[in-house]
Amino acid sequence: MDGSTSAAPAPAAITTPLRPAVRGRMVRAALRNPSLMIGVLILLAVIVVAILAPLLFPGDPQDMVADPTLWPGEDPQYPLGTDSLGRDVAAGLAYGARVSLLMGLAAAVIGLVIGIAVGATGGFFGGWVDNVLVRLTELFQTVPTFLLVIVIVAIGEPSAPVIAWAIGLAAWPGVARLVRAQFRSLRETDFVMAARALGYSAPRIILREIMPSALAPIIVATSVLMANAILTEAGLSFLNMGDPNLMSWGSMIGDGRALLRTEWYLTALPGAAIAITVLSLNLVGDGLNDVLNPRSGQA
Amino acid sequence: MAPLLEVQDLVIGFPQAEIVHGIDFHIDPGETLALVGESGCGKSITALGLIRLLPQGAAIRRGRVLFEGMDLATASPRQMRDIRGKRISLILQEPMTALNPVLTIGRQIAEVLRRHEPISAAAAERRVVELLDLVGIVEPQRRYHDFPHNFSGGMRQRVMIAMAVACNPRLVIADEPTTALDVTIQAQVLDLLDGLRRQLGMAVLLITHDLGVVAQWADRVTVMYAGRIAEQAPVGAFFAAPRHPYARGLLGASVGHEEEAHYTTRRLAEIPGSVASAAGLPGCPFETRCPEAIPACGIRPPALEPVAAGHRVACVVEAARTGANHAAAHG
Amino acid sequence: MLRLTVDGLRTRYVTRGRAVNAVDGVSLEVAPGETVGLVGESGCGKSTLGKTIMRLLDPAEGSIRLNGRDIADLGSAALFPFRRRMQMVFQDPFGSLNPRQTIGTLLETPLKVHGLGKAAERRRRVQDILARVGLPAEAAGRYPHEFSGGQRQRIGIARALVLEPELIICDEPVSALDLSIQAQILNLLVDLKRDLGLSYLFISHDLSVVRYFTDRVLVMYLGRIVESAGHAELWRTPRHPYTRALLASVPQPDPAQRHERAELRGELTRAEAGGCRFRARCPLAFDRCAVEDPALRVVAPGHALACHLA
Repeated sequence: MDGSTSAAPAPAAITTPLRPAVRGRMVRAALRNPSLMIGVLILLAVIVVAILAPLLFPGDPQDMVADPTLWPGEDPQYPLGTDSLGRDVAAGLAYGARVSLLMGLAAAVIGLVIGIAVGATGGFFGGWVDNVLVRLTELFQTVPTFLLVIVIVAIGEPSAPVIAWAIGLAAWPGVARLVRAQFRSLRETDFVMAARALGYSAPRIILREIMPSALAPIIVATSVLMANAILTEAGLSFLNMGDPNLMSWGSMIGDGRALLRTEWYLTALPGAAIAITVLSLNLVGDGLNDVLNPRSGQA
Repeated sequence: MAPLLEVQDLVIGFPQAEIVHGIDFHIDPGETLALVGESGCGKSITALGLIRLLPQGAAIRRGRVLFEGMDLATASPRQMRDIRGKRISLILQEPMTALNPVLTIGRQIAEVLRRHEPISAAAAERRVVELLDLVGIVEPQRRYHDFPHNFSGGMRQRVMIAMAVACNPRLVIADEPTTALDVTIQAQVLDLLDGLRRQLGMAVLLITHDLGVVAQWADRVTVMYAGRIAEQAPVGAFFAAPRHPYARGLLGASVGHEEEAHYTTRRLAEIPGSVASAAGLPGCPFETRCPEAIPACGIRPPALEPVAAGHRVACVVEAARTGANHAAAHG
Repeated sequence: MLRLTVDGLRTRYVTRGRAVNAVDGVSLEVAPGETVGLVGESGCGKSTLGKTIMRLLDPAEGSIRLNGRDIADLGSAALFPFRRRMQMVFQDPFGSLNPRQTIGTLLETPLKVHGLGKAAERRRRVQDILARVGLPAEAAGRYPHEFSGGQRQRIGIARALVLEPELIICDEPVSALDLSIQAQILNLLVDLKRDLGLSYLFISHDLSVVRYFTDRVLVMYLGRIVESAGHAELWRTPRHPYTRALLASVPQPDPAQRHERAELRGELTRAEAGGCRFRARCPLAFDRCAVEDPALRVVAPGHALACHLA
């Protein structure tokens, strides 16, 4: 067909002033969002500390370096004091940040991959596939998350990869439910109908048509997923089920528990580190929710 | 006859943008005035502004809304609460969301009555059953205890009408009351509203985008375009000879206007472009789409000028033409 | 030349364990170059019928033939080549375009999926099609939200056209648009039909639009076609009581023609089994209507009717 002939009427339809692209608006909305900005700044600080830990504190954080139970400020060389074994609390916190963030990230990735695969498949295809996957999801959800993690770690061994897998395995049902709900509503939209009418394959529709629109709530959920993974890992370490070779915030709290009445800083400092990190992730999640949700983005 | 409601230089806006740019119109007692225009022209905001139920952020910035010796634009919230539902009531487009899903419809109507009139619960119930009967709901006694989800769309709109007329208001504002309904139901609902208007002697402000609805059910029409009034006329004069180029374009673009029109024999007249074409320009908002535009149109928005009895148009070209005719007739 | 022949089509929905035939035994034909209107009130099954013919929904019974080849039971792979011949335009100009793809991507992907042309040819084709529907070339780089409702509907039409189909199913293509924009889109559809020799199945609840735009009209009520006739014939002598009530309900934009409207009782409801589905609302219903379901039969050349009284 040639496009030049009698399509002439309605040239004026093209004169509408076109608005700037959505991306610029999103960046500006993000910069204006206080909870997102605060969350990102705190999180960045934690990440910087985690990355720089070997430079700031060369040597093994498990090493005994000074007298036990030095209070913060007592010895300028160990500004946050030492624990009952004479280990540097500041070094422990810095190395603990690496463990917490890595665990959170790994567990979130595992949970996301399984959850998205299951949720997208069930939500898009529906029918018996969906039924089977929903039952499977519910089966996992009936067991309390933390118990499931403990059982998996107890069966395996308390090493970092096993713990990450355990937390990820316990977290995917939540992701799957979210993704399934997204896919179920999006697959009924006219643009997905149009894609099917044009003969697009199922993988193309899932990945190219639906996924980009389903992504926003998934990204928001990821930050919460990471926060939960960090809490779960801390809980495991506190119960002495963490990786014994790693210094983690949870294990620091566990070690400080016996001295809670006298040397309370040994519990309070890693506790504060966990609280701040989890809070920052939640702030990021809230902020992203505002920025990515187009309804709240345009006032 | 003194008008029932008179709007003078009404300006409504959100903090970032003005939506209604100073409009004047009036409603006579007992008449049906249609407010027509396309989506975004400001007709619904105007209606909500009259009874001060504007959406979050929107406010009346200037102008007066005179009703029964009071300026509704500056009346206190308490005064407005007494007027709403009693002297002026509102019927919305979507009857599903306008009714509370967890209360029986009888109770919802009774609540309106008891809010405005000192009557006993038993008397209110008797009155509600009468009202349900009045709006054509069969077995009103039994339906009194039904919930909104037991009703179809048309029936729910009947319930809304019963609620609107419960306190014998002087004015009913109906904002696209039949847009969500099928065409056979639309006729039923609008006929009902029209019958009640005559029976109860109230006026109706009918907001619609459908020129057929205007022609069939209104006495006078006010056409809005981009937050301004383009034309105001009795329906007979309007449909016989619309004076504003936008109104003419609308009628020309409307497929139902010429009964025998068919795509094989006649091309529809188009209004080129869209409402946004003139955004930010100082002149007449229709200038960029207007086939008759002259340089004078670009200077300032034209004022609404009388061109015949009860017929006013906001168009420089049309006003000049009328003036010339007058001069020829009298000179 | 593509001829669509639908025979005895049923589409079933199961809601809360109850099966409802939204389309309940529909037969119709769209000849090459013809514009067939499908009118009815919301819930009558006209949209479901359109989506079933497009095979976006699976039919429970019946056949959908394109030039004699039944596509009702084909799997997605076997259906693939037929997608190029029959396309769809949707009602909602906001919901029918993926908000996260540029117009260029929206229009080019169908060509890629169907393996048509090299990258440069595809891009030229996208430019052609944009010009064809009255949009500027730079529209290709923009996102749907940057366009007005009427412009988006042009994009939706462009997407339906890009594979050069012969039949387009239009599901309420102008219902969501303002009056002044409706005329632009209808004129565009008329131009496209004339220039490209398209045939349309035009689904709408707006009788004025259907009257203007179609050659032949099917009136649908509760999953069935109750009357079918040429557009002039139908408006001159509507025979089914439902068609008559429907036509009488349309408010004419002419105050001189205010008339008593034939009031139709009640609203569209699922009738109990057996008998005519319209009988509860029908002013003319008599004994036989409760017992016997009237079949669609030809009452005059080109005019078919499902009513005992004709």
